[in-house]
Amino acid sequence: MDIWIAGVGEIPCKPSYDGMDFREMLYNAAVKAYFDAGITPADVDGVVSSGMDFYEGVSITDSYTPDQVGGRLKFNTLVSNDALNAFIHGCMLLKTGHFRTILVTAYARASNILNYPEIVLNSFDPYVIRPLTPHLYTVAALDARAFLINSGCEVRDLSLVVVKNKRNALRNPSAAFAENTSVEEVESTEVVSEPLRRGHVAVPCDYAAVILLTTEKGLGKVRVEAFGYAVGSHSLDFSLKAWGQSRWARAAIDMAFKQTRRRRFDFLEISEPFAHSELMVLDALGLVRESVCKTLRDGGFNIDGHLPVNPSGGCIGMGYPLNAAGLQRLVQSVNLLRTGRWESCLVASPDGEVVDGGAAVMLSVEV
Amino acid sequence: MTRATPSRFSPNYLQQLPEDLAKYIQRHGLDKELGRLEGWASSTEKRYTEVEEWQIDNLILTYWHIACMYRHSAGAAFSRFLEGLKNGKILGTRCENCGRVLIPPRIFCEWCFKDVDKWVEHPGTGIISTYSLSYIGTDPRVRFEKPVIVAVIWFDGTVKAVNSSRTVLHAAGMLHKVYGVDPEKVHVGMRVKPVWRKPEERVGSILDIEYFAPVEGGA
Repeated sequence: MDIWIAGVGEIPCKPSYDGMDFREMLYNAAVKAYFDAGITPADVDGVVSSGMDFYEGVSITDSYTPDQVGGRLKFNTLVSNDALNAFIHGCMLLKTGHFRTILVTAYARASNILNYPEIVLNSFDPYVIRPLTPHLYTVAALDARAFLINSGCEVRDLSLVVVKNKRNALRNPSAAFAENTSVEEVESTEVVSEPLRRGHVAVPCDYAAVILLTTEKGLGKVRVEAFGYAVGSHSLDFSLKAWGQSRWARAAIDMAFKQTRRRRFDFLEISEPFAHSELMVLDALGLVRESVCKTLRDGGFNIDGHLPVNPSGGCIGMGYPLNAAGLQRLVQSVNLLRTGRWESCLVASPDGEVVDGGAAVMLSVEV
Repeated sequence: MTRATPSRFSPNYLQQLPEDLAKYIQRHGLDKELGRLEGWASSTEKRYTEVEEWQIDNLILTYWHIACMYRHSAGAAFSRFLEGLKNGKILGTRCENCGRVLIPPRIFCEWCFKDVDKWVEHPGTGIISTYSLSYIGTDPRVRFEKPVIVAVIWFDGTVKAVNSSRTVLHAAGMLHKVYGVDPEKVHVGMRVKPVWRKPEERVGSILDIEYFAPVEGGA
């Protein structure tokens, strides 16, 4: 059974949507998605919401989602962690044969969170990690350091990722942090936790996105070729964490490869809460012959390179919409595929800032 | 964008906690500094309260849970609603397609999935559609001697029902407390009206309506 994306809708990333609540943000994104798909809420069989109650500050967020996306009195479920999981859940519902069209939705109200580092701290072990009160950027920095040592990359390579993504974002009207910047400018930003500088961190943003999935080819704009999801070895207390590695990415793409013969992609969209996140995922995916850092330095991941990575600007260029990052990547991918420049892409998104888990989705347009 | 790393528990939050827990936190200075763990090891050896439900494990979890702080953007429609309350007005929106009045207001109709931009003002008079005499509070130790009447009010002229089955499809209204009536005499269908706080006491909150009271001469 083939699955198609019938339509997408989003509201642009912003540091803060002060004039709207999350319902109004989602309603605006949903109206665009329905218009794009050429269908109405009457055509939708169910809703899959992505949500992280800790981020939203509201429990059972999914219960408050259907009204504003046209899902009243329809099947509704919530999938936690990154929104790519919700998207995959929607695909699997369609594959059951009991649904014809599924709406997937995610939003972020990062501006509502007054103490983001402590919110993330709540996801760590209460006995051996929380008492140490490590900032999540520090935990990420441990990953960054380990990756740099493992891969042979240098801190400058992290800055190259930032420059690439922020420049790519200049073409994206939904991006909030587009900038024609330089490595020197990135490296002049303050150190947050060595080796990470402020410039290496994607800034959290407000955002909402809606995607309409269908099994009807006549409604399809972009085909969902394959998907995979995997959780690496990790524990609340980090004792099992594979520092500096995104093992989930290799496992997720292997799972997806079982569903398609495609092994090459025209571009990649990878959620990168930090500059090194993108390189860690690329390293695990193993899609380039030479090392990740050499390919990066040679411009291979640039928008005109042989494997463009985050031509949308990524989370660093657009803003990091917390758990909505996966859907943000998917919407950008669909938009990029529909420009006619590319025919296939791989979307990958980790389950969080410092989590060894995540999902991969392969999309294509039929030629 | 507002960002803050709080260094202490807010007085508002402490007020919401069970009394024993709030006292414990204050007695040990835990309200002064988040992340302060001096005495943490020794605190695991004793219970902080005599309330059975609250063990030391809960204290630790609660202690960290408190460090979740949010502001909630009210949004375009609800902001105007709150501003109306501050001015002693109950504002709603009306869907021009299905005719429903939405209180609290929305800028969209979830039935018709259309924009809604027609604003209406309602006096707040209506009937009790359902109610309960509540003897308990969210603090597990609290039991009221006199029950609080918690009720859902349906505002006049907003009820859409299927006449043949008396099935109510929609009604604009709100959950609130009812005073000024003997608990034994409250009943479904009782006519009520809002009792507002003094203008200088209103802050743009649902509590600007202090409570609902029976309409004199009402059923």
